[in-house]
Amino acid sequence: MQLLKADFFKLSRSISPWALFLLALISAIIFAACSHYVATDSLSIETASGSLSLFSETQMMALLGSIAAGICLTTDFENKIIENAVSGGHSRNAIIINKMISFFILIALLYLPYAAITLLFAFTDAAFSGFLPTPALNILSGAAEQISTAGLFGKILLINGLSLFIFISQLMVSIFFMFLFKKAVLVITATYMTSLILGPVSSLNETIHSVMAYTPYGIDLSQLTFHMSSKFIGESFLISFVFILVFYLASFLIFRKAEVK
Amino acid sequence: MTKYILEAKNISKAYNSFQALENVSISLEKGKIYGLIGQNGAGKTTFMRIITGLSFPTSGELYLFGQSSPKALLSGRKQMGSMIENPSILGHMSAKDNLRVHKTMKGIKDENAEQRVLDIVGLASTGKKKAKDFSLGMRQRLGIAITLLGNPEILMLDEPINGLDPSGIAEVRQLIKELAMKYQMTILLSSHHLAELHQTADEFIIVNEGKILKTLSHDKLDQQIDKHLLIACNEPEKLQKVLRESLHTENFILQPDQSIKLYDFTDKKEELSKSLIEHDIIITTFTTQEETLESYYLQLIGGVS
Repeated sequence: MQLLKADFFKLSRSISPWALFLLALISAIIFAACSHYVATDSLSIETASGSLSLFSETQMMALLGSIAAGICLTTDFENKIIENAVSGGHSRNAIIINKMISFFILIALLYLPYAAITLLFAFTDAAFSGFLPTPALNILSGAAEQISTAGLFGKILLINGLSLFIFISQLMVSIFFMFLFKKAVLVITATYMTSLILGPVSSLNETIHSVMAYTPYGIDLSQLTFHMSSKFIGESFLISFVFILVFYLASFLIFRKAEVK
Repeated sequence: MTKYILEAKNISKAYNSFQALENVSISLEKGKIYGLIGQNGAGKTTFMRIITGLSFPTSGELYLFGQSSPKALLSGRKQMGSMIENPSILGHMSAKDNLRVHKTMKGIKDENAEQRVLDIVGLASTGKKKAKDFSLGMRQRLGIAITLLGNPEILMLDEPINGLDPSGIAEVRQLIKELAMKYQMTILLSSHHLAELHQTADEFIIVNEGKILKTLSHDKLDQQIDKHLLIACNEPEKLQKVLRESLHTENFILQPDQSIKLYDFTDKKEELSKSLIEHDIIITTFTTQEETLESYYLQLIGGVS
């Protein structure tokens, strides 16, 4: 708890998490605007699903999440905060768990604009197009068919919550890379490359696809809709949870007896 | 209950084929200042890193407050302040905010803890100035302030006076002595400034090539440091002849500048000068000198490498 409090104080005094949050907010607004303009035929679907797809939550979470893990957390190795935590009598396990919690909160902060926009616009009459099968657009485009009730609010929260959990588990490799490389630039590169590569790799052939289906990279995000099944929710949650657990253990194994420099 | 705050028993550390430490054993008592002396690569920092848990020994045992279990070592380290190599400083924050980060990490509740240590190290007037704009000396002071948070019982300071100006060095020396005396802190400090270490430490641990060559107290060191007379004159050849034939001593060294270091007659200077004058030797320098810690250290490790 002491380490977590220190992390929050440190991050609150730093520009980088706020700059990343601002970028996520702008991206979420642009993405929602694209969806609206496609629905009202003011923007072609080709343009929106081309270069503007960069602003989708799937793309932005991979990019901003990697940067956040590098700049906001891994720099603690470079400025000797981790060293002081170790020499100050904090166990290596406590340090890893603290970094994981800080990381989860940072990713939630980056996802917040997308979640807020879905909650805000789902209860309006504005039209939205699901030009890309991402969770946020699934909510925005599907909400028009739903009746505005507390149940709808709950469903939106559920989709957003599950979506966030899957993104966290996908980006969990950054925690492993953090304790492996201890250098921000390497963590950013390795995490982003992993996110970029593993998606296309999973569709290379049936064998790889069936293996990747047991990782969060293999979860079909287009299925995160108002009509998703309990089985899908359960499986997605379990796969993501196990993935987080595996990478926590891997981080612990490499950091347990590592030299801290 | 052991009287030692910290004990290292046969600590060895190897990095592949390189033996960084070999059977290092030391025992540190409460309230004493220990000077760790050694060349670059002698193993000083490696040893401090093992004590602070940043590195693990290949073999050997470490005891903090008489206990050596992993849990006890973690608990012992909570009562330790350390600055190994560079201080842990966040450039975009003020000195006070940097201290607040470390205070929070240590779980210190005292609201005035930051101000108290800033006063001690003389950084109280830095206000909102960011640490990235600090001079090297100010950064060192801030590093020391961080180690002092929570009144630790043990301080590990690796080269704490690096970058400090002469007055800063004197202040840090005074501070270290005060911490040991007033708060009974046990301090292990390494420095390349051997003259400075001589003035600060109570005990000396001399390390070379990963091994402890000697541990000795300040008093014992002073006893072992040779006193000699430095004599320069117009006829060095004649002076040597007089020393040998008239004063019957061979206990002298001719220096490259033709002056002579004489290790006898240090308490019989009048008798010596009288004899030299009687032999018509014109003396230009005649002074009592003591070896420094540096020359003692160099003698111990076998000269300048």
